[in-house]
Amino acid sequence: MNLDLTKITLNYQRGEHVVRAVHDVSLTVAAGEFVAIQGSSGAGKSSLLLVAGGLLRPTEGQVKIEGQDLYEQPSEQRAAFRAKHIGIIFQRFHLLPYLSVRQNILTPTLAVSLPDAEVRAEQLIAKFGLEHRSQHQPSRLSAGECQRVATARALLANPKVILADEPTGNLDRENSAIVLDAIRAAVDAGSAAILVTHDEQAAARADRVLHMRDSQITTSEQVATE
Amino acid sequence: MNVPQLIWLEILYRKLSFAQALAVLVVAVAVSVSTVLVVRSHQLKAEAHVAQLNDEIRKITKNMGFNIDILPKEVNLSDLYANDFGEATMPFDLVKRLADSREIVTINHLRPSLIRKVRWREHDRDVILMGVSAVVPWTHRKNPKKPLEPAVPEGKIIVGAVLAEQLNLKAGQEVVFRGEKLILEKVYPSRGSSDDITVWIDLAKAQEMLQLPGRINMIQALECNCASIDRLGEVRAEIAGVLGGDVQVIERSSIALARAEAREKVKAQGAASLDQMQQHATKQTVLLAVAVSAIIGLLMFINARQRRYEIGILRAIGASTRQIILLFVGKGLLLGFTGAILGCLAGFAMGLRATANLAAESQIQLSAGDLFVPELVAVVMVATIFLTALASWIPAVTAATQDPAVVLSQE
Repeated sequence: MNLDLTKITLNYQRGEHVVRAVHDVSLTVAAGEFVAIQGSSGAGKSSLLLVAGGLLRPTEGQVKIEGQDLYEQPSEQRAAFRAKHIGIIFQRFHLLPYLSVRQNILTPTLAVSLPDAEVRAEQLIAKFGLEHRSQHQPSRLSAGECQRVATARALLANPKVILADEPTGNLDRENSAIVLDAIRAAVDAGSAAILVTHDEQAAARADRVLHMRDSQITTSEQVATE
Repeated sequence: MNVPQLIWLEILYRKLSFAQALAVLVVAVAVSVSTVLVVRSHQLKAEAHVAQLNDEIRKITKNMGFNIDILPKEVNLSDLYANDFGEATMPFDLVKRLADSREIVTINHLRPSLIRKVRWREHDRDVILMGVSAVVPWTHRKNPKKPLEPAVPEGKIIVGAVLAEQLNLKAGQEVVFRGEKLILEKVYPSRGSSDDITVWIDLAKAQEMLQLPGRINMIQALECNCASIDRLGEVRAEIAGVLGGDVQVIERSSIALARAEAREKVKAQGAASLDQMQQHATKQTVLLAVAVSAIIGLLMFINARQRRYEIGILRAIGASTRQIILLFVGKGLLLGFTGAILGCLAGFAMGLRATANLAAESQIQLSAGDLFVPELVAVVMVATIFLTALASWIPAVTAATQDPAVVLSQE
């Protein structure tokens, strides 16, 4: 599934001023492609990611996944589409505090029917080394464990598009590697992924690195394969 | 993963918060219910007091007697007014015809009597003999009235105050009246009328003594005070409709009218007091309901508002607006239902306790059944559940319809 962002502009009101978060950004991420976006704080990276994920309506522009314009769909349909096709990993994890690790990983089943969800959840728990934590609630987990849970939740439905916002920002090298390996594996299996990161090593796992400054993409470079 | 599961897991996670919300809800509902019950018990007691007062007034005024006399057409009214009775008689059957009629609505208490001035030979003096029977019941009327004056039991005699005093008669003693041995049932207190020198015996015995079997010379009745302008005219017309021209009808005493008016006045005053109390109670209840609604609404609103972050997460992973609203409204319904039931139970317990204290201070006892109002339970249940659901629904629907990123960024 290709992800196409065309002439995306996002402005928002802060008091009497209009703040320009993203300006005239166009970007295509092909199926099986891993794109990293880097840039200074406030450059518009996270905003662009939220727009791409159907979580924040842009002021102008289109977001198409496999030719379907996300924001032309009614909100309910967009939510259903997101549940089925888009996996989002947040920097702040956004786990539900009253659910266990296992239950948090399974939350997408609230929105989308996944016949093998239980089996898949067990596989992800094992893959992310969370077996001993599967019945624990997020308050008892470390930051690295929370991020692994958030990543597992994003991957449960085998999404065709993966959007990760600073997924390694709070993690040590070992945990970072686990999360990035998982995203890479999903991309290798055919998903399109965008990773927003400050981390050079994380960006190095991508196929292409884009740089944003002042709400726009300034450069794009291919990452050399070893 | 489904919505009920999420509701349950969230409640388990925030047990204390749920218990606090439930406790506030139970207290609010219980205070409302108990207040309504206490107000209701006051009202029931006031109603009972007014009824009691009415009955006492009825008892006090009943000795004022009947005010409608139905007489044989042959009675000369001049004689009647001079002697208090007329000589002419009529058949007892006329009373039955009146009692069986559906057309008679303006009079109550049909009492046939046979009256004569006779010699009480044993004491060598003239007295008025009044043979009376029990009030003849109306065939087609429900809820019979309490008799104004009781019948004289067979073998008994009742005498007026002056007679008793002059002849030194005491209740319970045996007296001989015109050759008949009778027990003195009671002595009527002085009425300041010819009743004071009257002897009352059973109608059948009087007819036998006077050799007038099956005859009477007066039917006494009480006008019901329900006719309109020409009261006597309407009574006469009704009776004439049943008995034709065989009888004449007179209004005997304005005292009886005063009696009816006094009772009407007491009834009206009682009704006005009850109405005032009802209005006062209604105002109090409405104010209380508004205060309790505000508490419940605010409680649920704050709870749902504090959980906007969760709404953002659930929307981000693709949960529908419907699921999110169900999640919050479902919890609201559960809380509202549980709170309403426990609150009603606690409220009834508190109300009964308060009412028991009130009952101890007054003569009137009220049972739990008197105070249980199914409508109150229904209204409290529906209102509480509706309020909790509505107060959960508003912030949930507001957050669920926003872009998830906006909700998450606000938290």
